[in-house]
Amino acid sequence: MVLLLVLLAIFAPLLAPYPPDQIGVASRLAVPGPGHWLGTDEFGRDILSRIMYGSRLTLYVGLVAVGIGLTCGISIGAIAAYAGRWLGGLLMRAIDLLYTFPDVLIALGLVAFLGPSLTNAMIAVGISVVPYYARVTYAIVLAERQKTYVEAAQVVGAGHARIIVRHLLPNVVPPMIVVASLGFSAAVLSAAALSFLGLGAQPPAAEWGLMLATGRNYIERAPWVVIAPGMAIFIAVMAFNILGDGIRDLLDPRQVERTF
Amino acid sequence: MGRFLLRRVLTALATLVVSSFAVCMLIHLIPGDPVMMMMAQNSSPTPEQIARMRHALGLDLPFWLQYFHYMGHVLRGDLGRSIFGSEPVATLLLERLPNTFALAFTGLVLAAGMGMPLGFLAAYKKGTWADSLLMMLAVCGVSIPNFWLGLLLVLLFSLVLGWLPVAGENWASMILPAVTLGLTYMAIIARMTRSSMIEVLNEDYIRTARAKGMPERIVLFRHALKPALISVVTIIAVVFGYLMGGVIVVENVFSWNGLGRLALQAINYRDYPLIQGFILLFATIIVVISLLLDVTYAWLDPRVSVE
Amino acid sequence: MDAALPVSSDAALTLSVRGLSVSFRDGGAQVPALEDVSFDLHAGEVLALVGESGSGKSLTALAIMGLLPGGARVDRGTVLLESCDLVSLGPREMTCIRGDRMSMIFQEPMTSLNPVLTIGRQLTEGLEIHLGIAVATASARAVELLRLVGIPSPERRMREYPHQLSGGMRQRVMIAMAIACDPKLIIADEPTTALDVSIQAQIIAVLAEIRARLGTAILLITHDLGVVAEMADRVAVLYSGRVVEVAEAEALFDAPRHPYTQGLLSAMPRLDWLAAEGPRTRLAEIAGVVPSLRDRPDGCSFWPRCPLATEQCRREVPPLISTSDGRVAACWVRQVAA
Repeated sequence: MVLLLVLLAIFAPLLAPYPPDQIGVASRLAVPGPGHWLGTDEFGRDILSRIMYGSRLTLYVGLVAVGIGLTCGISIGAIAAYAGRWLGGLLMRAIDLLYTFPDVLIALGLVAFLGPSLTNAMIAVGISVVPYYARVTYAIVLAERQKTYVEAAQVVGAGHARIIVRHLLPNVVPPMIVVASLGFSAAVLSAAALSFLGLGAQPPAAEWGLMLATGRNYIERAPWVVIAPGMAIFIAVMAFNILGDGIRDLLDPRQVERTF
Repeated sequence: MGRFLLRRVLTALATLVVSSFAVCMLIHLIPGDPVMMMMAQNSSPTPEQIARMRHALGLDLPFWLQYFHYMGHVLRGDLGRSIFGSEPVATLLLERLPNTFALAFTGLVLAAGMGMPLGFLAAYKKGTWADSLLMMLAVCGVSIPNFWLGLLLVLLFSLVLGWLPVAGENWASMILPAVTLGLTYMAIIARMTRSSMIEVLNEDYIRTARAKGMPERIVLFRHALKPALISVVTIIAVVFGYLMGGVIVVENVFSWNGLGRLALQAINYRDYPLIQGFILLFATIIVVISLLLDVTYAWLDPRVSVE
Repeated sequence: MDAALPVSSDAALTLSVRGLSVSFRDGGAQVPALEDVSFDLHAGEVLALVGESGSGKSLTALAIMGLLPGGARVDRGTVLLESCDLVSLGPREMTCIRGDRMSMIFQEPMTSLNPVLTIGRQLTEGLEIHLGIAVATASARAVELLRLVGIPSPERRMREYPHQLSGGMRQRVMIAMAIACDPKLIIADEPTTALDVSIQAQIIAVLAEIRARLGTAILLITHDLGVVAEMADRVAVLYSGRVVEVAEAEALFDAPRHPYTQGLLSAMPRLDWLAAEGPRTRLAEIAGVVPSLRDRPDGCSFWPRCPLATEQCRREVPPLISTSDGRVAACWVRQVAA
């Protein structure tokens, strides 16, 4: 499913029957049918094409947000686990604190002050998921640190940076793939929510959340403008959730707790 | 118990202090000069106006004093004035608080009321088709965007069937938003309840109860349910946080006149004092509720309470 | 082969296990875990079931109790508790027998008691269900039981939760729960393994006293030969899901018949020190490792590690059979030699 989504995003220009922004005055809010499989929106744009192009934005947003979350989260988590009790404790207290609050609230607060735009939404969502990654990394690194091979490396005299990069990171990677996949779905969901609220992607972008937001005004006359983009978000999020659950069951069912 | 309570209350206080500090500093995230941004609506603010605004926000103070300036006002119940309409922020927020609270509470009750029994059932029937079906539905539940689900419910119950109002202020108009919240968070609660119940059913003491010849009914309801319920309280504390995030979105789907809708209006008007007040209030609600749930947990669990 | 088991004539037969076979579902296949396990236990007797981890001791106990984990099932055999076949009983009838006519003590006193119920509640519920007595009577009896297993100020303990008790105290509570309804049979699965050495002796003393006072038959499951020497009247040695030798405890320690038993015993002198260390230390004396259930060799499961193995051992499973000196072992070589 995830693979299909990725292929769809890559080949959107080839697959889409119409350019995503092509306006057709004559065919506004057209009923789904042979010409437009999923109908058209209030500007006569083909919804199927817009959804196909939207998959690119969705994956892009997810990648950037998870990228930010992973980079900051892993660094903070690893440093906290590796640093002394004082600094590590302080860092993790801060992370726990952020973790108390729903990621939508954090993202919303950041976007409110940074200003609404897709870039800011991605940054905000990215930051809002940092605590999750940091906590998982912290837990894993702390567990790994106590194992003998790290002590052995220390005895041999390997430097801190070397131990982190060479010995600890490889053990962090497999569970991180699971967390990243589950986090991806959460990030896509948050970003779509922000766009839906008008705080993310701005018109005329073909972004699913935004399409829903503009479509809701026409929900009575043309329900398909609401059904299709929402279904797209639903399927994309579910795909990553199932992928994450699947990998986790494959790896080690007990290692990563699910919180999303 | 006393020590636990004390530590928990101190943590909650620390959380509030740090988050209020963060809220106070958010204003520096605004690209450019915050005062100029806030006065953008006023085509040509006079220097006096700018200076007055700067002073009102405490921005003329040295950086490290700004927080104390802000908190000094907050602790006196003064969250500043809304830039538009110039009403006190605290008044605006308190007006909307009951609406949000009613919605969030009903949503949580629905989510827990449906999610917990389903989770228990799935755990008890682990491996059967009923379990698989429930867990498949749960994956759908955690994946479905709440704003879309809300719109679909509107489409079905308001527009097609005409049973319930699309928006409004009365109880009938709360049904759809509350059900939307309930359905989305029910899935998470069911999943978490299931895994904690499965864990409990695998415990040695469940085998002991069976070895004592306890009928299945007693094994489940006396020996397994109570420990599982105790961990469900922690689950609900976690879910409550997520639900408060969901409330913001769902309120806007249903034009429910609560804090989330107010917040969005404030963001669109760049009413920064109002946004700050909103975040601070939301953070306080979340911290206080999770503190209460933790205390409940401690009170239920003899391992913590009998000390 | 059943006839080979010596039956002591003086005491009544409490438990008689015959040809018990249990298998696990592993993927699509059924993997045999217990094969043809047979032994007898008389009233007031302590039979030790000895073997390494994975030999099937605990599985035997759970099969008798009807508490096999999911995926495991009894394929063949009978378990007669005072001439009532437990294997043929339904779950409802088993519920009535468990905790009443037979009961079990588990290895982990720390996790085997329910953390959110008081000691009193956990003790009285069995009395109420099985004996149908009122709460007040049950409480009085529970206090009496706690006193019997040597718990000081039992009235206070009744209101306490498991986490307020030490490991040794919790195991005493487990024993009190097990003897609550005056069972004919107590299965004690590694009752001392999780405890400190000094506490172990106390628990063994409590069990010994229970047996002496109530005349209960005890099936003692352990890998600790020190415990066996202290408590057991007779010993059944289990290897890879099969009984390889049954003997009076003294005779077994003096002159083991089966090569595996000999291997176990030859590690004995070190046992006194390493009692809590687990089976691996002991095994150092026997070359090789215990075969996993999935690739158990043909013939006698012990032959790859056995110094005496012959061609016959590799092909045929030796039956548990009396040797000419009146001992019982499952070994082709010893049978011929004797």
